[in-house]
Amino acid sequence: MTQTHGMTAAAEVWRVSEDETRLALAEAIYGGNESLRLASSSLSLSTGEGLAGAVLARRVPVFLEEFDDESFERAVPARADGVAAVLGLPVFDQAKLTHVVLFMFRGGPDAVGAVELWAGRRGRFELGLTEAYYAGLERFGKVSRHVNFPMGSGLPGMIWQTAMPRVLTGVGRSREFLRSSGAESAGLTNGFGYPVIERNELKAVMLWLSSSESPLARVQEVWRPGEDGWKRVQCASEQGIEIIEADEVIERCVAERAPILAEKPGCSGVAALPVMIHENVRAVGVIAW
Amino acid sequence: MTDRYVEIVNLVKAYPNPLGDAIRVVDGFNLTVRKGEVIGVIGHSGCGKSTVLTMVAGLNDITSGDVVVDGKVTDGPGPDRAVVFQAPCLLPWMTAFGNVMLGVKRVYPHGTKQQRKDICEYYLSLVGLADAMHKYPREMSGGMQQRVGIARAIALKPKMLLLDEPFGRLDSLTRMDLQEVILGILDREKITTMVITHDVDEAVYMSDRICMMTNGPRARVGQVLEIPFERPRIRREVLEHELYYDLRGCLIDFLEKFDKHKHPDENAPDCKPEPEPSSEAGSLAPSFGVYTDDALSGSPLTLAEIGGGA
Ligand SMILES: Nc1ncnc2c1ncn2[C@@H]1O[C@H](COP(=O)(O)OP(=O)(O)OP(=O)(O)O)[C@@H](O)[C@H]1O
Ligand SMILES: [Mg+2]
Repeated sequence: MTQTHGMTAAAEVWRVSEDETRLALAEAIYGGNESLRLASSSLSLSTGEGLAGAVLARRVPVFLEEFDDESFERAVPARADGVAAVLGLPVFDQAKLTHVVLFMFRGGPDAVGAVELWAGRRGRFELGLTEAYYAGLERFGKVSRHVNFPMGSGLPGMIWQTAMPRVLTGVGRSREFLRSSGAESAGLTNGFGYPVIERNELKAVMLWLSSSESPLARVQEVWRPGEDGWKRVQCASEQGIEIIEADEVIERCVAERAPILAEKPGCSGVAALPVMIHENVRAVGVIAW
Repeated sequence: MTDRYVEIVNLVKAYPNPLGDAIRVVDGFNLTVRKGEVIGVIGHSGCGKSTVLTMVAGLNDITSGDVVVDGKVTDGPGPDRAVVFQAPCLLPWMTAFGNVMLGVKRVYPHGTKQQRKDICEYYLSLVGLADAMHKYPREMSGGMQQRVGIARAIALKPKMLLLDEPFGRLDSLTRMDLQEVILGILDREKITTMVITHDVDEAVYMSDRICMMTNGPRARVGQVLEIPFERPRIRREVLEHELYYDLRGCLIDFLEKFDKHKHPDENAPDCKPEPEPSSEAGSLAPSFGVYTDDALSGSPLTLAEIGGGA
């Protein structure tokens, strides 16, 4: 199988201590980057320290494009691997911040893709773009900064309304993807969105918009509980990759109420992200790169 | 307060339907407007733009929802909201001056005769009619009549100006003239404005934000585009702005996506699509509240406010 050059370089899950002051690395996938693995192996962080620590302190997703050793404690090995942006994503179990997921993204002249964070606009009934990383999508990014979605509209608005992760195919053509200006011509194909929910409140929506040339994710899925177990209810994948056999990843994710990383044949890594509302794990979003 | 000067909250309009259940033409329209902001409204013909505007004006009964202007829930029409329609509806037996005076008398009942006269003359000259104040409608072109309509609305010193395709019947040169007239007045008077238009360029040129409506029935806000151009606006600078064509493209994309003829329906993802929220989920739209339980229905969601303010 020919492996396309994906934009996702590495992912980590950091577990937050009971008193919400410290972080320990729980899982990681480095896609063969040994120096990053070494630099990370003995690391532990406290509130405010490094990127995961910043997420713990601020309790919101944190995006870094311009990073140094202080803002991202492993800036050197990451940069050596071509990492151009890092995202720290908080995962809440009701009011408690239990995990921080870190994603590292490559850039480069041929990369096309977008990772966006959408959040509430002060005093409005709308979601607006707060931070984003655009590779090869300069015009698309410029316009997106001026777009706002009410509940139920566009991919971010649908995620807000349903409180669920969401997968979208053919973003350039889909009626649900309203910002097609440039999206289709730039080669964006699939979209994946995940709601960050704290104490039953929407805090942010994370979107991944992938191209087939340099996908952020090659498989994206949404799983929900059904009468006889968890079921895949939405999916999209790039040519040349099958659906990921994710059942046991989902099982762990639901049982542990935690984001899970795994390695699977045919891809570098799989991440399962739970959406928790009240007592329930309501859905799991799966991305594989 | 000035950030939420006008609040349109979960506005619904249902018209009776002789063949069955009432038709919800507009269903869950939400919009918050800052003081002095100009909001453009676009959407396909028949989607419900005028319905929203006339409800905000108080001229059309609201089925449910609220319109709050400067902290007060509106109830019926009032001088705090002035409306200009496509056709100016001037009284044919009165001059331009007389038509403007009609409203001025109502809102300045305690002014002296001279004060009222000054006000009428001031606003008529603002719209470029200093030399035509004593003409009758039959002696004026459509564009001039529309100027009278605008002067009449603005002379009321409204908190909100509502324009429903105000230039829809005018040729493009007159239209551009009148855009300048309105923008000039808005720059000076800072009146909070909602303007419906079918013209994408007009929307971009005039608005601070453009509210794109989905198709009816059950129309609501689909997307809101911020127009970052500074005021006062200079047409040439706007046209040459690096974002102009991308912003315009964003509006056209939206309209094309909702063009019934071009898109039968094609938003289903590969696998079984997620069931769309049931019609009851319309009750989600009021937007404030918390996900109440694990069921989808009836679970409005609070939006935590982080970053992105203004
Ligand atoms: N009094 C009424 N009774 C029943 N239906 C009505 C009534 N008034 C309007 N409608 C319907 O409501 C819908 C919205 O009408 P509205 O005039 O608000 O649309 P619009 O967006 O302003 O259209 P246009 O761009 O053509 O002016 C239309 O389908 C219209 O047929
Ligand atoms: Mg109309």
